Amino acid sequence: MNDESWVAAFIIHNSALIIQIMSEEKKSFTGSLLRGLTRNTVESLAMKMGLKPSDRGWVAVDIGASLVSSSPKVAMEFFKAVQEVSTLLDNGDLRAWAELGKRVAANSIEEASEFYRGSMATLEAVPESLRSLLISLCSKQIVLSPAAALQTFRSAPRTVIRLGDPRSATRLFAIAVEVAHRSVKHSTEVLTAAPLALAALQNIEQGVGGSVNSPLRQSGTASPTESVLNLAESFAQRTGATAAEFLSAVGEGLDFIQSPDEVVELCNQTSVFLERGGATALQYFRSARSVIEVGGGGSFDKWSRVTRKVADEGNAIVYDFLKLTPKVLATLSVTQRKRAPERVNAVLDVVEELAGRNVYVALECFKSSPRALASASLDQFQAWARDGAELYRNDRRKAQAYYALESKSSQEQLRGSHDGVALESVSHLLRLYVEGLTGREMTIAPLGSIPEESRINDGQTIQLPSVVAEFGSTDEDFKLYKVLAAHASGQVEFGTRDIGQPDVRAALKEIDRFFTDKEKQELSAMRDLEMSDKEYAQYSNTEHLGFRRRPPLEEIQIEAADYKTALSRFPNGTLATRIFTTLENGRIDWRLRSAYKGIRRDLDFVRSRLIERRPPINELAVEQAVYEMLFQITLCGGVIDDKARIAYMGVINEFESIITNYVRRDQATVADTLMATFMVYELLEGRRNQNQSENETDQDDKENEDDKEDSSEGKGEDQQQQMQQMDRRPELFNQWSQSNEETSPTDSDLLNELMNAETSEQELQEGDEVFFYDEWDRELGDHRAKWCRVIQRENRKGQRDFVEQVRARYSGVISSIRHQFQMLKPESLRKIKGELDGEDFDLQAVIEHFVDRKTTGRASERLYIRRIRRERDVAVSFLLDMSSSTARTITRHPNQPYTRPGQKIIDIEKQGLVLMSEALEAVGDAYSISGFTSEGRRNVKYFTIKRFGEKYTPDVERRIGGITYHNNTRLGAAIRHAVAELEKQDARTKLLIILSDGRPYDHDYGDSRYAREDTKMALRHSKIAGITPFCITIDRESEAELKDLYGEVGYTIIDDVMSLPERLPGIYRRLTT
Amino acid sequence: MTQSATETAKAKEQSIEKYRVTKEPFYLNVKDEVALFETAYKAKLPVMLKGPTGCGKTRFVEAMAYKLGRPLITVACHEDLSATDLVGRFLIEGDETVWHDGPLTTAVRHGAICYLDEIVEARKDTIVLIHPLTDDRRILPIEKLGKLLNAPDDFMLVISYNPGYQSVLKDLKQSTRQRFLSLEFDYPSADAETKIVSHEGGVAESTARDLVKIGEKVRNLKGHGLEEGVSTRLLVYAAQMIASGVEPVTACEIAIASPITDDSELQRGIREIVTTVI
Repeated sequence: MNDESWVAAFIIHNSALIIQIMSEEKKSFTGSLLRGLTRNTVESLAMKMGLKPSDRGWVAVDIGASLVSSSPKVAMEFFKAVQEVSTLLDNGDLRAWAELGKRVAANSIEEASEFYRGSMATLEAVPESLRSLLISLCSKQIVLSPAAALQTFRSAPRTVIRLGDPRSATRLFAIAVEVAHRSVKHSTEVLTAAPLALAALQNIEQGVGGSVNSPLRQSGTASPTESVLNLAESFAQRTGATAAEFLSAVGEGLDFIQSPDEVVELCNQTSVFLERGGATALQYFRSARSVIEVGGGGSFDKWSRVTRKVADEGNAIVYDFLKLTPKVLATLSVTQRKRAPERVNAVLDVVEELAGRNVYVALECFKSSPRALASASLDQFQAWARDGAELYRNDRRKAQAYYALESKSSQEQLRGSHDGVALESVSHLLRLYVEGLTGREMTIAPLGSIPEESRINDGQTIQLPSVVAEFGSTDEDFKLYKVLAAHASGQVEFGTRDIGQPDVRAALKEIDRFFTDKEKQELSAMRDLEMSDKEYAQYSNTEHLGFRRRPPLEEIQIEAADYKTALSRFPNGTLATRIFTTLENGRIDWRLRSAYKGIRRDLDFVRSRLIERRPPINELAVEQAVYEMLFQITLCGGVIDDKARIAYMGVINEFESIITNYVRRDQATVADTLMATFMVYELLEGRRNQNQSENETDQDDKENEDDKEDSSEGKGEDQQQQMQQMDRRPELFNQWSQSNEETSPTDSDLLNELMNAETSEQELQEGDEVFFYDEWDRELGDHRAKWCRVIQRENRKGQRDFVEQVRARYSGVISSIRHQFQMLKPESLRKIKGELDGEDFDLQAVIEHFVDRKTTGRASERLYIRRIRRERDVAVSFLLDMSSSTARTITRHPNQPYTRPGQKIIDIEKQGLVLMSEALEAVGDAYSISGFTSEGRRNVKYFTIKRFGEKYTPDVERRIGGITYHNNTRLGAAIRHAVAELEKQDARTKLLIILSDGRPYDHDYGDSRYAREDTKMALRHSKIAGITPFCITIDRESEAELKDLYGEVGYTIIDDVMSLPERLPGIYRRLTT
Repeated sequence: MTQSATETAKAKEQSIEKYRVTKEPFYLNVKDEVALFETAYKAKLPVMLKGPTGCGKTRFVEAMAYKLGRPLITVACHEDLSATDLVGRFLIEGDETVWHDGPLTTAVRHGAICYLDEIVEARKDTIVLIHPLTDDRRILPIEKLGKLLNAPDDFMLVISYNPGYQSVLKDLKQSTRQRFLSLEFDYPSADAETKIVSHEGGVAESTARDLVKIGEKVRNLKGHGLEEGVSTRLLVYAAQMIASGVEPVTACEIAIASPITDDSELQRGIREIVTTVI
């Protein structure tokens, strides 16, 4: 270090000090003085001292000088720090460091001073190799965000500690620098995400039998950490931001990965995808992670083969596939976690097979696999997938629709190709059954697997397995459903969820009192122990023995006592729940049997199957065996195994007496079950405590021995073992009860999300009703099942003025229309002469009768007049096209656009509706008015303007005024909904009048041919349903098309659109007379 | 001569005695309807019986007629029922036209109980005809004879009405409904219905109880696809079939599941309920 430079620096330092002191006295003067002074004097001074710009001192002087000009205070801090800092940094870094402070100073003097002051400590705490990187990272960051740079700098020592291994730390800092080129935020995130990622990787590396990483190194491959870091570097070079996300994805954990090699392989594969962009590679990594997590290593190979095939088709599709993968896997694993790997592998097998033929088709199949598997078994799924491949070998579109489960035939194939009964096919029936038995509205939800015993339901939803293929015949499979449904109804009928009943309250109080007393006793016993044996107390406190003080029972809980409250009073709630579930099922079984003779047959049938499936008691661990016996006694009518019956005679007798006394009684209530639960619980818990204390005494003995031999190791091991035992025990019960409590509401949510990924469904508003309709696909030659979602909504209310104005404008027309239509209205009674029977004699006929009789002896008997009511029995629905195309303006005078501006089609249609309503009110026909628009197939909106049976009120008038145009014309779906509404009407003549301005169109409504065919099909079905459709349209230009569209039904084209309002009633009259 | 005319003529020949209820009909008082009806009779007020089909309205009127010792003239209303059909008409007999009383006129003349079953089915102009009989005038104008018939004290008008149909067209007008006391009928309680089914169907009480249980469960389905619950009458039919040796499940099929709905899914649901109970 050059001494002279420090002299110079010192001079400047002092001069800065002087200036600062002066500045406090005479600010304005010193300001100018300073500027003049420093720039020249400092530089010349330095020159005089023979400093070269390359020298270290020059840097200090140079920066110092410029700092003085902006803030003498910062400059002072700088000069204080620079001498020390310069020992840690080389020239370039020193300059960069000084620059950092300078930039900070531009924003905040305080921060900058703080920065220089703290720099030394910070830099010292950072290893030498990292200092340069840290400075350059901060320099990059400060360009965009001074705050982030300061933060990075200050937290560097902590970051270094968290990163641990200096080699990795260096690389990570380098990555951060790389990322900072593009994004400051993400460069910070690299450093925050990295520690977790490193920790995860370390877990894996150490997980390999203790021999940390030697075998890998020897074999020449990279370690997981290295490959992850390599990959992160590539990410950083390529896109920057994704590197941070990649690291945080690694940090989310890789516990499920078996060997380090897999990590390396995963990284290698991912790096291949980097060529396709950072986002794709990142998505690849995430998806691959979920594949390995859910499906295990084997499935990863399959999946990556599929991915490569998909990747050949282009970036967009592979990205879709990658995004889809985690969702599909999550859905597959929600219902049956244990069988998830099997399911994932099977699905991937099929998908790989299909991908060999057509990637798009394979993708579709992959996407719908969770939905297909929700109602079919694995074999059925595979059969379905292979059938599809055969059926649509050459037609990609059809195949896609097949695999998307869109076509009806595909759904049937899936269902039909399997044995057994799917819940879907019987859920309506079961709902009727359950509602019949309970008299309550219940919903039925699918369940992944067949439960051993019924769950305690919530009184509204019954969970049933999504498919039953247990018995080999449909009837027998159905019996299982019936029994499960009967059980569920039994829970409602026999008051499992009774709240606040006196007997439940009593049971609750009794249980609570018992355990509270017990707790008190044990606590006081413990205290005594503590007093007498302080040594013991040291390592045994109340917590250690599993005692938690429970909050006392509140009055309100007693008021609303139910089984849940009671179960929560048990010290071991899960065990109690488990016992309760079994016993309650036993009670329901018993009560069902006594109340319903017929169900006994089915209960017996299912029970016999259940008995076959029970595990042999002798092979079970003691605790499980005890529980199994309880199960068998309660639900199978007794312990099946003779040997076990002898071996466990004592327990069995106790169980049996409890069950006979409490559960198997004709009037047993849930309170009885609770009391029985309590007794069984005490029985089991008593045994458990006994075992425990036995163990403990053993332990004591051993400890004594150990003490003698003074081998503390053995003792530690033992303790550990015991701890493990303790851990395992509750887990055992947890497992039982988990299978019982596990609910899978997310299942269907996930499915929905998955299926609607491509077509966004708009949020519903309050009061909306939703309907689903099929759509005809002409290429498929089949309906796409439940393809369109129609939202029925009341039309918004506009101004009433509109109707008033129309009435005023057309007052003449209206009165003539009213007159015409009143004529249409039939006289209520009409006289018919010459009837065989009637109210009155027809005098003329009577005279003739007598004349005839006198002259010929034979006479007509038709002497009566009868009055017959003739009713006009018409229901009509007006369906109005409200798409944006109706905003077109029509004028009779195209050459006078300003003086006679013309009108929007929709307004003309609205006027037509007003006149029509007048006419219909006059004739008294039942009518409804609605409009429709669409935004994709899931958002077909059906606005009701006037419902059938609704009076023509001012509200309706306002709704007519509120008609406006938006979006598209998915005519088919709208017609189907209108027809469904009309079908509910009880009228002899039903009419559907469609007011449209032309062709059906929607953005996902296929080509114009598709839309037309669908509309035609909808119209055809309307005719079959006994509804006459009639279309009024104004598009003269495409008459050929219109003829094709509406040719089968009636239609009319109105040339002069402006005349629509006047003509509409006339057309209607012609149609109905 | 028309058939109905012939019938009316024959009816004329026989005395009012044929309308007498000679054997005591089985009727189980569910609430206090018997006492209320008697009071209404004494107060000379017309009564409307409301309730679902087959819950025992007609049987109740029969039982009351027996109890009060009055003849009972029942008219099942239909949409072509005209005023003439109720009041009477001229028929040609030999060389002359002869007046024949309609059922309502007969009832008024003899102080009988006239029961118009399912009154909403009748034409509106016919319904208006009974109005003068239902207020304190208690008269029946016979237009064609130019006569005004005063109803004796023991004449009583009873109508029945099933609000279950709830069709706008078949609703009873306020001007009519507000002339009647109204007794609400519903299916009897399980115990009462068991007694009824057992008695009427001739089956053991346990069988009757099962049938009633089925009935109760099936009635739960009302509104979930069923317009109306299964009537007591149908349960009695089922019991009668069982009593005659028909397999119980079959009996329920033909007497319960099949009659009340055409929906096959619903029938299956009912069948499952039947096999659950029996």
